[in-house]
Amino acid sequence: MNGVHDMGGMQWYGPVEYEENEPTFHEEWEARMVAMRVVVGPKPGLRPGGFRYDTEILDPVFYLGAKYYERWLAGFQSGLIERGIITPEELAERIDLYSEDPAAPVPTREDPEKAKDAVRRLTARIDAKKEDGNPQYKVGDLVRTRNIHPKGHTRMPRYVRGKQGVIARSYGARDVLDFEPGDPIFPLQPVYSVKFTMRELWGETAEPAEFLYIDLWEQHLEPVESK
Amino acid sequence: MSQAHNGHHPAPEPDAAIRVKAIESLLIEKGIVSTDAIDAVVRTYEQDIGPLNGAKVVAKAWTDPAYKERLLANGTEAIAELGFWGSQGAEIVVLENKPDVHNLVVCTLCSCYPWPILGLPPTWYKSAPYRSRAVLEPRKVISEFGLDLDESIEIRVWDSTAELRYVVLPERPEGTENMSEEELTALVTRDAMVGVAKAKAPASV
Repeated sequence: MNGVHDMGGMQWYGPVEYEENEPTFHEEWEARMVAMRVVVGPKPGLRPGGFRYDTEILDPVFYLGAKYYERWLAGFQSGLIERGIITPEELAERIDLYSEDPAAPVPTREDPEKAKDAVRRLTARIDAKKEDGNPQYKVGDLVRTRNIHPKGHTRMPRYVRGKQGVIARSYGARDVLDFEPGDPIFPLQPVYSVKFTMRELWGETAEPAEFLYIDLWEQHLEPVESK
Repeated sequence: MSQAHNGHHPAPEPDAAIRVKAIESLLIEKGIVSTDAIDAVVRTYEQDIGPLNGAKVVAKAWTDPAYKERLLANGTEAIAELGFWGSQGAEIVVLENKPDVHNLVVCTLCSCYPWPILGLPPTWYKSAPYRSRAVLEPRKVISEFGLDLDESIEIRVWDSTAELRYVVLPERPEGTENMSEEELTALVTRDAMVGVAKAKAPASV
């Protein structure tokens, strides 16, 4: 979707703020929440990359104003409710309790098997699903990205749409990440690294010695006849 | 309580720390999480999954030409030789910096990052200024990090839009010929492996 998350090329965000020796987590709640997400595990049957769409549909003012992990928390909280793991009522009640007494302890429970399993899931080797996929394009082919504006989830940002580039790498077929809500899971499809000159993307004032490489699926591309 | 867009902007949420406590207490009571499981995952993120892993990969590539060749041909397998793999690292592609080519990695749409070898991404990598400007004016963004690249040096920016994860193999610094692999790992910073810096000079360590 053409949401505020699609930030490539926006010009009004100012300097990159850098923090020396930044800790992994700035606040304890961030660490607890990120860890709980792992322990709870993903919703069964989730489509590949589907979790990113949940963040993209957040209110744009909230998305831009929130700290990074506040966006995760919003998704985690609504996900728990959606999955029926907690109800809005019991959550509201518990929030009231801790709001009134922030020092009140959190109950504890030890479960060594659960702990081992969570760490195992986080650190287990996962291999990408791959197929040869019978790619339409090969390295060196000229391609043009389609001028499409899907309302659902897409991994082709606006700044590369309708642009001419060249196939830099042909990776073979991978999971398709683009979807409209309700779509089935699609068969694997060839993915390419497509190379663009910055001038093609941003115009003549861009530097000649700068290039953009972006991973796109075959459905994002159309052929260009080379002269 | 939902933050989904519905035409008006929601009221501010209760404090995040309080919400997380509330959620943790409910999930503990329901037996869905355990305290030690949460603690163990936090520990793993804070201690085991971090840029020291990537530094070891780079140092080995600098000292072992055959390994470097394997690393550039198939980053995932070569990185797995050192025992590094896991979530957000199913497929890792290594980009070699050269004197006339400098690589920079970004995820404009969200925050995709090669966790197994770099850990969780720093705030700046996930921030709007970086995500928006890295693809627009990379040389300027890199210079704001303190690295000035002459305009004759080719810059390649890689937007991580699929599930392939990119990491930079920085150039080996001058004057490091006699350093051991272990000593070399200390020169390899996370920033160098994302592409906003070069590896540290030996005198700086």
